[in-house]
Amino acid sequence: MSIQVRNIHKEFGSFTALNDISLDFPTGELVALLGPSGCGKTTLLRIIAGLEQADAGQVLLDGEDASGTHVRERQVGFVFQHYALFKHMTVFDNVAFGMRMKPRGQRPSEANIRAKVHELLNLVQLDWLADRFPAQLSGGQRQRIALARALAVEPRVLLLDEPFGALDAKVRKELRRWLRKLHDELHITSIFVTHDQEEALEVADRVVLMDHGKVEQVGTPEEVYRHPATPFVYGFLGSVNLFHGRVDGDSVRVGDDTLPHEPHDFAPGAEVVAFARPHELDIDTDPASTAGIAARINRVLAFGVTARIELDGSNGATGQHFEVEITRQRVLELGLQEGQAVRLVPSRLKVFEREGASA
Amino acid sequence: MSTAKTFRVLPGFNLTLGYTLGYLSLLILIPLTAVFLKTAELSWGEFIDVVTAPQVVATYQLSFGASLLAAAINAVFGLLLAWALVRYSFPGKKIVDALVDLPFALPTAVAGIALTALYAKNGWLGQYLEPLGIKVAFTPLGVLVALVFIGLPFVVRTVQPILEDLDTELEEAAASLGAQRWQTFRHVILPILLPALLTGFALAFARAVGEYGSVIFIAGNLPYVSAAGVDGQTHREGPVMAGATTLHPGGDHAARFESKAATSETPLVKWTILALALGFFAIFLLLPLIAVFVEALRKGWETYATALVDPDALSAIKLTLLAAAISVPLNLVFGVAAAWAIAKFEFRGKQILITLIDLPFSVSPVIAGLVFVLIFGAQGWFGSWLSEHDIRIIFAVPGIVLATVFVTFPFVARELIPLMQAQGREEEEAAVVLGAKGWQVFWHVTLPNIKWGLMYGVILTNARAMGEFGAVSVVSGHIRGQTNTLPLHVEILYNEYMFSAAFAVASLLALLALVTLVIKNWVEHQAARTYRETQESAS
Repeated sequence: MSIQVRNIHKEFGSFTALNDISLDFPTGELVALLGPSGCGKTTLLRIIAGLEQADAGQVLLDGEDASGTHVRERQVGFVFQHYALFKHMTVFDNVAFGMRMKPRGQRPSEANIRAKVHELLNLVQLDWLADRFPAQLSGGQRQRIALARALAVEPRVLLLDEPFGALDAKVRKELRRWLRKLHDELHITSIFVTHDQEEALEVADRVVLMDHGKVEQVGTPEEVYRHPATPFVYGFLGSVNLFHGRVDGDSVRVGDDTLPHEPHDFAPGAEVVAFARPHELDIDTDPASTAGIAARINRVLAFGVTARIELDGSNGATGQHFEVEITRQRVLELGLQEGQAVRLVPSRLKVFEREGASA
Repeated sequence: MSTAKTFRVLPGFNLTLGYTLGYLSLLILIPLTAVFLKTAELSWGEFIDVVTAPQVVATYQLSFGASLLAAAINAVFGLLLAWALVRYSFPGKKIVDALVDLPFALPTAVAGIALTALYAKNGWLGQYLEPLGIKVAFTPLGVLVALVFIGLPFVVRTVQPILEDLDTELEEAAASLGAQRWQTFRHVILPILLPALLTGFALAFARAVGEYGSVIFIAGNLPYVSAAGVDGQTHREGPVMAGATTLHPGGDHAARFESKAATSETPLVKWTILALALGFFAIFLLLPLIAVFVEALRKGWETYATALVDPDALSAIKLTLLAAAISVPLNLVFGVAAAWAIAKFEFRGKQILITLIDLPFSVSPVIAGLVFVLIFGAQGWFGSWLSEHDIRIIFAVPGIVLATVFVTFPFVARELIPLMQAQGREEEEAAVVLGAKGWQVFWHVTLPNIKWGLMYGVILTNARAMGEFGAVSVVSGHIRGQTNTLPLHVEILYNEYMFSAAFAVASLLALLALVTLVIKNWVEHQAARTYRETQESAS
């Protein structure tokens, strides 16, 4: 089932949590709402579920306006960040809860409930835990039980709030893969909230990037990573080196140095920010060279296949820190030393007009 | 046992533990042992005869039956009141919240005459109930009303913190799974509240069984009919009072619940709950309080003032202040010493010590008074020796002070022990590592951390010291101008049908209760603020 939100606006006191959000979530997709904490992603998820009321705007489920529908009638499955399992009930009773709460007429027989619960527990591979209490489970197991419980009412959509947020790194990776697989089996329209870019890029069909209550970019993981639409998206997805400068003909002037860059449509003299990822920077050790930015090597961390070089800017970029990723082989070739003066030459540069400078 | 010399990092273990044990033995253990030895003088046959006499059996029935019923009523309405206080915002909520503690702070003697004023044949409510054939005062029903009054805060204060801490996600989860509001309450909220509710019920019941002060007024002590037990049992204000100090940063929670569809009720349900809860509050708590002041001023300010400056009243005030002025510092020092020994050190028998400190809570005040009569009375252990040397303890000021110290014994210790245990000893150890001496550690590190808990304990001790009725009544002898405390003076005036004067003196005590509640709230507010600040600076 598809979900649309139209012109959603939500304020908490004087704080604007969501500012005129409109989004389409097509049927059967797994979408990530990604952004830093406080960007409004969880609020949006809760509004879609009906747990929170928008100040303005509509939520459409399957094309029908659901804004006035109580959460208990919306038939959405919601998995809470801390799972919200009922501590006084066994795993079995937790999963059966939704079915047992139905009005008498629609309630399945106890035998059917039993069958359905075991089916779901098998689906999440935890049938052997049916008689345990939530306190006796590990974090990853609780997460899967919470999911089984949400699926038990045959929801039309599945909403997950930071589904892996409370888990340790190893379990998190496992569950990510497992969730993707589960989605491929069930094909239920799903939205999950996360602040972890790696998680969003790895699991989702589509990523919605949010910041300060606004949508910054929507796209496939490939699109948003390769072609970030805004400086925020560029900075949020992966580590980044940034250069403040001014457009000067074909290049960007940073202090006394210049960076070459592709054709553009900035006005001459415009204040810009240029981004390059660590692997998009090369190091030039030739003292005579004038290309790129002058910097001094601070630390060389070369214990993996790729080496990480940390540098401090000199000349125009004094006080700035840079990070470069090159192969270990290349470090040896260049004979890089800590304290050495070098120049940084970007192989690819993404330039944005500086916010506030044009306004 | 290891022979190597072990030494403790923190100072003062021997001093504080020694003092604790000494004080405890002298005031609590030895006197209580006396009671058991006295009982042992009876043969088993005599003992059985005494406890199964028809009059005594009738008191059992009233004691337990009325207490059980009162606790059940409190469980229902206490839950509603706690719910309204946590979940809804309404004008005057802070005042209602503060006044819930009134039965803790209001001397039972005052509560008793207030209830009598309301329910007597020509009383505020009695005059309407009487024509309907409902007699309250001087009947078992009156006992029930008094027991409901004293039991209410136990339920509210045990349920309230649990309700506040309740994770809204659970209700949201239930709603998202399609549960109706009532189903959510029945299957999700109630099971979580149940342990607290049962605890509150049990505490209210225990308090009711041991109640003496307020019941003696409204019951009228007609044999077989309304002689509620003076053979009572457990007084356990301790845990609840501790529960009431549990700090919940964030203040009013209502908005959090009311703004969300999944955690709010339909307006009809909401207004019904509010009406029931506040109606109950008004009839059982507010009305008695108002009655005291209105009755006190019924014959005008002049009569009121006269009653207060009467020499007997003045001497009662003096004696009450004296008893409080002696017992508060004594129990304060004891409380700090005991808490230091228990919270900062490990030693054998610690749990037993904690239980023993609680003992005076579990002893009915009347028994507490009898204990001292058994030891120092004319027929008591030291009776003849004392009379030879012309020293009077029972029916004299020392006896009153002793009884007061006894009943207020655990309050400070009970506040401080959990607080200091929760704070651990890291900060004190750090101070010792930095070279601080024992007193310096206590003064500069420990005291600032426990000051609000300490104040809280002092307020409770003081309120109880000034309001104690049962124990003091037994040892006092009611000699006007000499051994009458304020609560006893209220009783004397009341029994002599000097109602206005009785209520005037009672209003003083009620005022004291209100001041206690105001200070208590202020302390809680300060403590919550300090707590929030430390939380914020920690994050």
